[in-house]
Amino acid sequence: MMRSCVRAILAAFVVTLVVTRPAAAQTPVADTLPSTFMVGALRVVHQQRSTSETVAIELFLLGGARQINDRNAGIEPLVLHASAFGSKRYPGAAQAGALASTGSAVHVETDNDWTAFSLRTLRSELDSAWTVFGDRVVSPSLLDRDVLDARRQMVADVAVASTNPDYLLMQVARPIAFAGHAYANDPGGTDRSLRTIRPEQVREFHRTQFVASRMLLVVVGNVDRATVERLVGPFASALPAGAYTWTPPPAIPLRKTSITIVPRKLPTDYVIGIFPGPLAGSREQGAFRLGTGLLGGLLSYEIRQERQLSYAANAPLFDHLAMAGGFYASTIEPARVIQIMIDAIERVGNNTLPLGALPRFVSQFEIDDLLSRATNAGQARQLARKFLVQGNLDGMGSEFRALRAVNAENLRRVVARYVPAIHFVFIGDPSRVQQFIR
Amino acid sequence: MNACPVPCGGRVVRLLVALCLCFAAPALAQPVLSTGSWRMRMDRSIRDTVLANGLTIIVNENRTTPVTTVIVAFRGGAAMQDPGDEGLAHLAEHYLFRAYGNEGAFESEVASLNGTYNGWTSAEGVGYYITVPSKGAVSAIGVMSRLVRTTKFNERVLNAEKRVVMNELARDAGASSILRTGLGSRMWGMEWTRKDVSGSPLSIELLKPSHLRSMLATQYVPSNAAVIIAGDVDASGAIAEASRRFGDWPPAQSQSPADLAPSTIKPTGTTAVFSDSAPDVSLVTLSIQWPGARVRQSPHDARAAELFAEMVNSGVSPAMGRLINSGSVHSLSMSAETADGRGPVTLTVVLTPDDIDRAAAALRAELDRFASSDYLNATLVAAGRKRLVHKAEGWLESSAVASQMIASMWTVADLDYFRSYGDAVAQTDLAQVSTFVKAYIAGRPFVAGAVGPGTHVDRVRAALATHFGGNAP
Repeated sequence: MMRSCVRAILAAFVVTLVVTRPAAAQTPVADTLPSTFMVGALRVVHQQRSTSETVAIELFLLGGARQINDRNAGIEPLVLHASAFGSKRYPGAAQAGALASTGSAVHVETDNDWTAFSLRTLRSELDSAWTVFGDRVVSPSLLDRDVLDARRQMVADVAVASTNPDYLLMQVARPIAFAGHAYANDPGGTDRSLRTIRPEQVREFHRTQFVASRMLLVVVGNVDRATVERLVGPFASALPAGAYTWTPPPAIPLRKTSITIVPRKLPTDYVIGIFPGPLAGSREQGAFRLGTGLLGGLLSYEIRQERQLSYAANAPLFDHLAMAGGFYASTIEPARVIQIMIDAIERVGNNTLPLGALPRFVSQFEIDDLLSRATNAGQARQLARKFLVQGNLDGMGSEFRALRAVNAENLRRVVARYVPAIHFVFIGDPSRVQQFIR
Repeated sequence: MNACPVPCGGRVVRLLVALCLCFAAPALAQPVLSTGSWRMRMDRSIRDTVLANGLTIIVNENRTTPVTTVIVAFRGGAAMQDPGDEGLAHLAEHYLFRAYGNEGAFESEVASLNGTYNGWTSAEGVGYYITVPSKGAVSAIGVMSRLVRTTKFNERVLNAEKRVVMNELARDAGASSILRTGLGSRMWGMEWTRKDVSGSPLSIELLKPSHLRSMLATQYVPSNAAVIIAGDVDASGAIAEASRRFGDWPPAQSQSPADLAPSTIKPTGTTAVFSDSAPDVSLVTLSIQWPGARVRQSPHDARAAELFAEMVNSGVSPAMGRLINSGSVHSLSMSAETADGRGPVTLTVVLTPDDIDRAAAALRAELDRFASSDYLNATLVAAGRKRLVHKAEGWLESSAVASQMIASMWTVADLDYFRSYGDAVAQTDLAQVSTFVKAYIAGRPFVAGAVGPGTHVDRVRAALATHFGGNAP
């Protein structure tokens, strides 16, 4: 019996070696480590990867929610969307034609800390696609008609998104959970803010805000540094340098807990609780990250696995540079679910969280990170974040060393500090949560 | 907000697969890829074999990230459902994770491998996967082997998982779901059962363990399955390990999914406003849907469908020019689902309710233009072709994404469809797209439907009837 066990272990070991041994012929030879350099006044981060025939370019316009207020929220993506209707070198429909001819895709994505203007293209089309992309940033036409058409489409997008209860939940929760912080304003804009933004405001915003010092350009894919410098040079020199200086956002203030009820007749009710967290890069971030993961596992187990009260029960991590965490569930039994969430907060307070599972969550973060870095665009986002948090690209992987260093006492202290400052928002049938309304 | 970052029984991956398979949106005269370039790369990185029990094993080496994904995919999916079984394939997908050993055992084993897992259900396939750090690849293959060979039936576990699925249905019961169901039932008639992945709360409630047992016995068998291992592995070793773990899986007779394409579809051409009850709906979403190509019978047409959709979605398509830029509609998108069960191909516009008459008339005029010989042109085709190649190249960046695409294409077609995909797309030409449009779209029967605010039901209904009624041949 024992001998057969040993044989089985040895066999498994041999098989492990066979399955995972390096295959030199498959290893890309031209890949580089990430590097950063200046092209004129523009900061560039670059990594060559030869996994595929593609290139991902991410132009980060820094500041995000800190660049706007509640009246002009959405103005930065509006500039970028309106730029699709024409630019100096490609006026009117010529621009869409030039981009379409490359088969490339351009995306605009807002975030609390930046707006990402992205280009995904085939390596063979990089020169042509970059020319169109760059012209949109440097010299958009921004005619009245362009801005109004783009605005109309953004308002429609908000209207369509508003039919999704999850979107609605966040729209309600954002100004409550982030009150007193720039994140209270949605950089994507609201129906109300978008409708009032005028074309002249958009042109002025472009003139004053689209400056090299407020940009971070990240290029990841099958392209070498010399090519990047050749392409980016004229672009950087055409941009005003500006005087923007990047600084991390302040932490989200801790405030007394609250619950907000939004009556809606829906097939299922929705509840979210959002609590502030530390700054990304701070000594507390690892413990906060792990604590949120731990709470998510706890909620999923108690709400979905044990009681089948929800399909989706978890603890989202709002992984912005000013971090936040949360509790989330959709359910037709919200009172029971909210009580489980409150019980989880109490477990934080009385030190009865299942801390034995911590190593599992470290590993979970590691594999999620590996998967997100697998695509060129994912890697570009991670590199940008790394650079903006610590000002350089040193110590790739140091986040995980920090996570593994978190001990139970760190975690208890950090979680106990932040989680009780939770702000709940409930959307659904108020009669089901009467006991929580005081 | 990511509402579902933890294993969720299918929704996230189903969306991913749907997004990948519904190739929608926007090129030049020179070849996009050199002839045979894609195929050569696939032949270098992909190996496959079929075991004596009928199981297909596919390995895709990609060493860029030290992770490995192991998928077990089954052909069939919702297409195997009988009337009354709507949602069965999806419920089975949920059930299997819970039926693995003691309660929570699957989660614990995956966690012990530092891995992540999920599943997906589509109209023609079901898939289960684990992604682990590569050092755990051997164990992951073993876990998956045990998972899909579950023979334990526990009514309590099944009923518990029904409640979770019910909440998933409730989450998805918004305007887009109402429209999808309404269009589907009118498009496929009685055969909607075989397209209805989600089912309804009632159909889920009525499903019995016997339904599940019967389904697993006939579909979860080696000859109907593929094990796909992708990532940082050695192909020979991975095939050997999969053969060892799955080789003793007893062969069994499976229903042949080859005959499951809906056969009696008759798009009625009737129109309807499907709901005024979806909350917070302020705009009208209007969709036109056509039966598409059968990918196994007409792979050229399936790729031409994707290309046509890319052309329509292109920022320079005639449809965009006339409908979007004129302000008739706010957005326009076409999707072509790659499936053996005849697509479908769906065109969707979003518009302001007060503009319904003008927008519906403009959309109808656009549909009528599809038949004209000058609607398509070589420049548009070249642009769409390049866009599709770009998307396909994007899959190869991540072994996890590539593995999902291999699984999806294997379930609806075969591995060769994936192996030849990039080259085949790069060679699709104007003549093939024109042939597809004439055969499937221009002047062909379709269904039309809309969902919008309750205040405009009568106007929307009237506009649909006026502009899209009576289109059956």
